[in-house]
Amino acid sequence: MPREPGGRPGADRRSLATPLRLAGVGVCVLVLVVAVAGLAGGLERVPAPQLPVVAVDEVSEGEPWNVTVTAAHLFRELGDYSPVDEDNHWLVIETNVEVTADESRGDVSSALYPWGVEGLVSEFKLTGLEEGAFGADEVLLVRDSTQVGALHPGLVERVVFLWEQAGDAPVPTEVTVRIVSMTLRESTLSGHMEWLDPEPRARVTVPVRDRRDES
Amino acid sequence: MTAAGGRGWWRRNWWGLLALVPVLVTAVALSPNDAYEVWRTAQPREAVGPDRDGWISYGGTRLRLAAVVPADLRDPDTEEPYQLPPGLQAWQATVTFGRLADPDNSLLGCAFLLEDEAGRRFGDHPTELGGAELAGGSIGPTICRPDEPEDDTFEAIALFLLPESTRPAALLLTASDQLPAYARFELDPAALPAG
Amino acid sequence: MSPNGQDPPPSPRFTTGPLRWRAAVPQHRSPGGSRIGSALAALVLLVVVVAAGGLVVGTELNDDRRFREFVASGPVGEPVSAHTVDLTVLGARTAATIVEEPGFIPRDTAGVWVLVRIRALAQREPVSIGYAAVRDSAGREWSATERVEQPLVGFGYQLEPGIPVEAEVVFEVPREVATDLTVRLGDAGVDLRMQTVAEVPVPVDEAAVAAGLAATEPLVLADPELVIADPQVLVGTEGNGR
Repeated sequence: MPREPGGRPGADRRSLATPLRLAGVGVCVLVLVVAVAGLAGGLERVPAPQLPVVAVDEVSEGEPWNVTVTAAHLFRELGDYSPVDEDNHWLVIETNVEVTADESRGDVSSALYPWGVEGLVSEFKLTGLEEGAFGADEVLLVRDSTQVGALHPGLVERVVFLWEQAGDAPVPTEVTVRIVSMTLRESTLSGHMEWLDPEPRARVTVPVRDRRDES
Repeated sequence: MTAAGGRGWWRRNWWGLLALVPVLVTAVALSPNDAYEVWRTAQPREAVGPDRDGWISYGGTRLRLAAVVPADLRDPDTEEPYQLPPGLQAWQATVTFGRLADPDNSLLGCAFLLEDEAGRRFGDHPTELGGAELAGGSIGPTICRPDEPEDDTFEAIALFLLPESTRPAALLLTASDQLPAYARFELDPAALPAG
Repeated sequence: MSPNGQDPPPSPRFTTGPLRWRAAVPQHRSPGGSRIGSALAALVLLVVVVAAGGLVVGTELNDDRRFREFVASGPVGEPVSAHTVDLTVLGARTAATIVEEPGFIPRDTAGVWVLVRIRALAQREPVSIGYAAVRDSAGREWSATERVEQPLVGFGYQLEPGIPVEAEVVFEVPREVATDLTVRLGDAGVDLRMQTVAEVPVPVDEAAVAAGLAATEPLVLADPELVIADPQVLVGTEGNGR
């Protein structure tokens, strides 16, 4: 005996039900896999395992800025700029920066960050970047020792980035600097073209000159 | 599909179609991102005028215009008059406030505007009068707050700069949480003292 | 097959038994060809709807275009209305080094300083010039410099109706674009959506750039000036219906 007297219509329903059920199971499995991967950290942003290496004094070209790391120093103070705690010192990264975007940029402080340096005091997190990417406490124009407000397209400027490092932290003899790229694209939130998706695009390892004894 | 099937569809779904009408109307009327509405309600557009005794109830207090007169700008120590650029006239408006219903929150973000005969609005404490002082003392930014929170009344002085060719016609007070409503005192330009 | 080897009973649709009501319900679809037809029709409709949606999305202006600023352009020397404020470009100076006031720290540049002299006149209410930039013909844009205190632009200066103010707006640009600039001014802040911007070419030529860069003394920024006494300006303000 057939299970229901409906005959053909019932059979049709069953022939549709099997693929539907399979699809449902497939979706469930997929959701489960994504959830488990997410819980295990699979959805977190991970920088490319091997960032391209750029030499000291070599231009890292990209958007929205070209960056050249030229030197690194430790200073007790720099001009009028002193660390908050007098036992601390500045880690200073010297660079040349040129805005390659089509407009002036006021966010140059997120153009680069030192990687793996211990004892940075303020730990000002750079949004959208990896854990441990800390923005500079001060960004200064070497030209007249003033704080950088905005940098403008097509003008190469000597810029120093300052991080306050704890006096009792291990003194670095060299530091790896990661240079940040962004992408101009339409924001899915606002619908407007915005510079988004900051990510490290290159790394520079630069020797650090300890000049804390100089005044 | 048969004709009978067609009639059945309408019979089963008429209520849904009917419900769609008010839903559509509501959706259009209650658009949450109505930028125009947001902008409109941030403008002083709905005037609140004084009662028979000259008081306006606004923003959790009442206020009354004491005077609008040419400002006596001079150094309080030397009595030396402040040199205005030629062609300009400074005006000062004094407003008396009653007790604030909520001393912390009443009249938050208050701002005075002086309207001239042509309907142009002038701001309080213009940049050009940055270095000026009133004969009576300091002219810091006008705040709608008494010196002591428990004071029953207090005064505020607003300062404006107008071209000599025009005269004040109304004094306006806005508070950011009351917009688009604002307090409005009409003036008689002809009755104002000469500058 | 039934265990006793008999044929299965005929489909209830064709019996006269208690299941006969099925055939009488009008909204039940008839089996066979028409069902495949309606499924196909549904599929075709679905494809049409998705394709139409794709077309709409593809042709619709993106938000940057839909909400882009209104531009009012005009020549040097004539007032251009940026809705709440009339702006007139009066001239421009160039320099290698500028100083806010004599005795202040001189500011040099990797490019060239361009100082655009403007007259601003608020129309109906107090207003500030929150947006000031120069743009080259390639579309690159330089905001007003923050290296010196700008006397008029930013939100530090409140313009009052009927009181025209003249001042310089200072820009730092690469030398090669200095003769190819349009100045853009308006009462908006950084967000230009649906705002009005006045656009006027910056009157700077090669000779002016060369002369500015060759000057040995730093150029002193001009103080803002009220020009209310200028009879021509008074005529302009009284009209109000421009």
